[in-house]
Amino acid sequence: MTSDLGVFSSNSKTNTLRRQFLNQAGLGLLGLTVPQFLWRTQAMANSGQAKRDVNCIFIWTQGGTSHHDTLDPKPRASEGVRGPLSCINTAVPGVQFAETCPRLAKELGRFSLMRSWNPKNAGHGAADQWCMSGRAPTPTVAYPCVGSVISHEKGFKSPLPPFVQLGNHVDRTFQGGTPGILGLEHGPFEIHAEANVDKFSVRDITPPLNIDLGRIDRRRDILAKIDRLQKRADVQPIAFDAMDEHYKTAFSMITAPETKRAFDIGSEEASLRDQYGRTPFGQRLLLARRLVESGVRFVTVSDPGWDHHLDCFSNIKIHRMPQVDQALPQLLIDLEQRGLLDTTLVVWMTDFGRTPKINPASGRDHWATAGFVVMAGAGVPGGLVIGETDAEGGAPKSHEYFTENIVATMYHKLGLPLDLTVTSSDGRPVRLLEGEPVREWI
Amino acid sequence: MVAPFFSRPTRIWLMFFASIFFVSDGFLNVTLANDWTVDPPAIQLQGNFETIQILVLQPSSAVPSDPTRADDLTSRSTYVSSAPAICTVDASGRVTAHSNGDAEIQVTSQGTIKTIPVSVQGVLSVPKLDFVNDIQPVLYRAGCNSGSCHASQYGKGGFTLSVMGFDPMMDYNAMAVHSRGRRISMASPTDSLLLKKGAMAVAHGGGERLPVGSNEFEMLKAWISGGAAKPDLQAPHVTKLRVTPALRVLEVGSSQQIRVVAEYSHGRNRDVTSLVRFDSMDESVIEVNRHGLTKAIGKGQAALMIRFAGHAEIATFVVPFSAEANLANWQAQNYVDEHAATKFRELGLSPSGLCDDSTFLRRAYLDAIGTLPTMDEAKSFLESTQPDKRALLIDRLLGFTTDPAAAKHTDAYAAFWSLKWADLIRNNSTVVGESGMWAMHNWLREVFRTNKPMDQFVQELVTAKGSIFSNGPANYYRIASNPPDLAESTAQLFMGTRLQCAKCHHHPYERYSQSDYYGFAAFFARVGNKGSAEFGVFGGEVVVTVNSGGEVTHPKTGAVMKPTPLFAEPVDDPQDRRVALSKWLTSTDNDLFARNLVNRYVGYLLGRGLVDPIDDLRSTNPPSNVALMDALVADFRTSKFNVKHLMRSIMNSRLYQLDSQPTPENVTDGRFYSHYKVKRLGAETLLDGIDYATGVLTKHPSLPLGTRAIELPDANTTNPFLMVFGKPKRASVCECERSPDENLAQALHVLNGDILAGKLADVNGRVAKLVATTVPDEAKIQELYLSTLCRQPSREEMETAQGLVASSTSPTDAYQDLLWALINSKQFLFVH
Repeated sequence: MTSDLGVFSSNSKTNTLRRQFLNQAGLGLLGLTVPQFLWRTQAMANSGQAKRDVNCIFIWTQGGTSHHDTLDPKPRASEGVRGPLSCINTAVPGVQFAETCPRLAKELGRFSLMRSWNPKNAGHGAADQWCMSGRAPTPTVAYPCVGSVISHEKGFKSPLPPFVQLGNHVDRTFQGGTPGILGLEHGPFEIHAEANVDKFSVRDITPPLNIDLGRIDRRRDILAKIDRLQKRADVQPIAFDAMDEHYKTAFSMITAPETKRAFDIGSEEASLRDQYGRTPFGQRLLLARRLVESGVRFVTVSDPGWDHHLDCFSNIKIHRMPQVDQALPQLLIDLEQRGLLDTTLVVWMTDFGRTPKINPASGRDHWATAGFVVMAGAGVPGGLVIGETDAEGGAPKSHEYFTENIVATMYHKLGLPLDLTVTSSDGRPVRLLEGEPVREWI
Repeated sequence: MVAPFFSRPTRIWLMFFASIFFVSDGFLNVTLANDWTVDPPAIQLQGNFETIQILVLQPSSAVPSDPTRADDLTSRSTYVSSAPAICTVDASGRVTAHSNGDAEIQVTSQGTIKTIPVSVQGVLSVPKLDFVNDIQPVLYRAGCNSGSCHASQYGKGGFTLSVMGFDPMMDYNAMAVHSRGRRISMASPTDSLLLKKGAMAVAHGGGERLPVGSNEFEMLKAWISGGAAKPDLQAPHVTKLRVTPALRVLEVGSSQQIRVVAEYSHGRNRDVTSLVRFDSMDESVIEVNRHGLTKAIGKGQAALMIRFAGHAEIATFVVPFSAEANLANWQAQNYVDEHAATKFRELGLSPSGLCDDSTFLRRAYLDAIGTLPTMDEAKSFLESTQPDKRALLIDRLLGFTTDPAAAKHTDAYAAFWSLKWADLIRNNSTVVGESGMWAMHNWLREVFRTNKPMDQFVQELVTAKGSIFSNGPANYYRIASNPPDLAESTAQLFMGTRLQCAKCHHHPYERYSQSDYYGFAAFFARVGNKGSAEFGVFGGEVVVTVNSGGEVTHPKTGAVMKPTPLFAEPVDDPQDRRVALSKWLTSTDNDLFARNLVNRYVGYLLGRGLVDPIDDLRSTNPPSNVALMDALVADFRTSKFNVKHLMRSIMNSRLYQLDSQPTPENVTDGRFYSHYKVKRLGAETLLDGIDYATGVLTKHPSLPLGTRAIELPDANTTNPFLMVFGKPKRASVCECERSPDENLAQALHVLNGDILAGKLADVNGRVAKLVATTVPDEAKIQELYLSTLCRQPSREEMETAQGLVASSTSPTDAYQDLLWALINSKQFLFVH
């Protein structure tokens, strides 16, 4: 390799370790992926990096939550802009929320709100890719979402996968929320099942009906025998070795008591479950906390139904917002009580803002130049409101920030270098992010 | 890139610029065995800071006549200058000019001494340095203008350079003009912030880049003290880099010093070894230091990339696996095997043996038509005694047959290859609507059912217009709709060229500049579309049209770009520029068209392209077997771009039919096809295979039961199995979107998922039906092996399975478990 730090060489320590590993094992030549957690865990143990890991719960309200009708109301605008909802005061003097957010208003001291986010985009799909990776979609390079970067850079911390997505409410048309160039290995482990039902079970982890652990053990034995008979020599294609490792991990995940415990949301106090709200969103958020406690590094909590072209106000007030208003402050309280808030970054993003002018169907349409972002935990100062939009909520008036700044803040908080450059699975050096973090949050 | 020079008659520059020396191209053809030579035999250096790299070589004792095997003594010799005030020489054999006069360099090697006369002229007391030819290379080599440092979007510390120096004026302004010129101090050059930062004399986030006293440091200093001359846009520019040696055979642990000479537009040659950047393209085979000393660290073949002034060149290094390849059993089936054998000999690499019939059967079915053979097909092939049964099977799978009963296989062929190309073209109802998606799908099916020649296929696609609902290929212009996106997608799909870097800056590995990019994009400047009156705005129908006007302009110069193919003169068509493009694309003028397709199909069949990544053809990424690539390309052209012919040539070769079982000697080879490279079955193929093995079909939404996963027209799917196994979303034209990786979620899903569990336990499934019959256990076990692995169980496998059934209280459970294990075994999950 070149001795000087070159145009495309990464500053990341782990990449160097990876290269060394590949060279030693003679695998670099083969372009094959050996389960990376093996050496990454090793690498981390060696470097003592594991001490203060910051985890992340990323909330995605899919569709584009109206900023007017939640956290950035315009009570003095004309009726055709301000809408029928009234405003309430928050814990921070001079800051008002829409009446849909009473608990968030009361607990504003626990989180920070940015009102000067300019998404520069009003398309679904593109939003998911942009907000989760910090890069606009391109036809040729699929940039990885932050959770996948975490998986790639930090690997496993427990038998549970490093990156989990709850719900399937992420639009992947432009590869939003996916590992992109980092390869499937770093995709989110997806849990689509509803945590708010009595018989919550996790696909592929909870054994299927009629298969008990005894039978899983028996099958493991049979597979081992059949595999052994197929194997003709000690050396085998290296892809087979990788597969063996994945199967080993998979078996341990299915049978490990930690896994069972992490998903056993029924073991939470009933009163705590009530405080999160017995709603799909509420229980998903509670599950996210359990997962972070059990060693998951990054949890995406996705929530559907925010694309309110029709009947924006009653939808938000009656159906969507109460769940979030109940659960999000509760998560922050819960994390603080457990001493996890300093090491857990909580982010709430949505596709974009919505039109200042209300359309004839009592809805609001997509809006590209304004929106809000909420961040809390991991040292983000509570009660801080950054920037403001103009009189109609159409564009930031001050402290304008862009999506790359939000994602750069996440990189910064999660301990990822801002200039992280990775080699894609097909050998291309790619700098993942361009942008500076939000000053007020770091 | 390097701007033309010389509006003013700068004889001064000329003098300082050129170092003339005598490189004889045949210097390596040394005939005296055991005698070493120096190159060049005499040195003339002209101008301040000029350097030259001496090479010391000894003919190989084993093969004295082979210059590629000559022993490089350069790093093991010692050098002494007779007059260090005139020129110095360092331990690596690099001579640097200091003042005018004559001197000698004494070279000691192998206990003997040789002398090289040196003449230095044209050194000036106030050196003149050219910004483009001297200063920018220094910044480039030190990494200052890399994407992660000062060329990142916002620069670093308020100092922003252009990426790899593609914009000399911007860089000049950043260095000498912006920030009120505080970065340089002409009065006291060493106090210049630029130098202090570079030398780490003050804090510098990027560390020490230009050590005090280094040639680079001195050059920058001299440029500043000489008045920090602006970029001279008339300066001569580099036309070519010449790398010595271009090909070298090494053993692990041995090394070779590289010398690089730049040829300039005004006819001068200049040794730029000390100014270029070296990069190993395969760090498991060779490593290189910043001076160009290249060391073999692993076996195989690798390119060394050399970059200077917007040009990139390579040197090829071969590090043989052993002294001699064992090819005793190698019978060449066709030209593919002849070229493969030559490569094996060159690399001393011994291939694995031929695979057995059942392995070949399964491999050929999966690779050619993405489908497992039925049990009957498997049995009849395995039992056949025809000596050419493999060739016959290939013909049957590809539809090269006159037997109408066999024609049904071409349906699977059409489905499988439509799927592949729909992924690449990104056919997707989210973007073009249901009707557009179906129109494109039906067109693709027709293309592959009729085996349309690939040039016609691409011409129809690139020149398509009309309704996206009734003319399938017109959707290409809805999937991407602006000239830059269309230029990037078209170049990558049909030329294997990644143009996107050149959108913003000069391509780092290639000759492509912004002008090339926007000239290519200009072909698409006049594609328009309008809503159809027939179906109205809400029906979503769009008509792709060609407008009479519309241009692409260069983002920097604002110039209107003429539609220009890559590295060719502009071409046009009075009605539709795309017609000119499609003619050029598929003409013999464009070598990349055939090369790209050949490489893709080699990749699909052999598991890795001759060029890898499969869609990244460029001069700095040469094929692993150049002769084989050339032969396949020639054959493909002769066949008039017939992909079935191409596939037949590859599949009939012994190379394709090699065992996937590596030997201890060839296990580390992943590039030269010494053993067949196993690959996980794709998402759709695997689901279809599980459907067949379990006897339970998957119902795909809004399509009739019995529609197979490889027949799905759209990217959108809600099927969790296909999602876990990475069915592409068709968001990218990159082959890499279909990730071949194995991952944990997949293992969990096959191991423990409810989809497979449901199919195994289905009351109408294979296991339930099998258990209900009265055939003996042996036949039941055979059926499970044949329907999954396409072969009969071995004696031990039969005994193991019988033991399992006998020891179980429930035959249903036992057969379910057996089938479960077979599906989870590697011989099922992989094409092997």
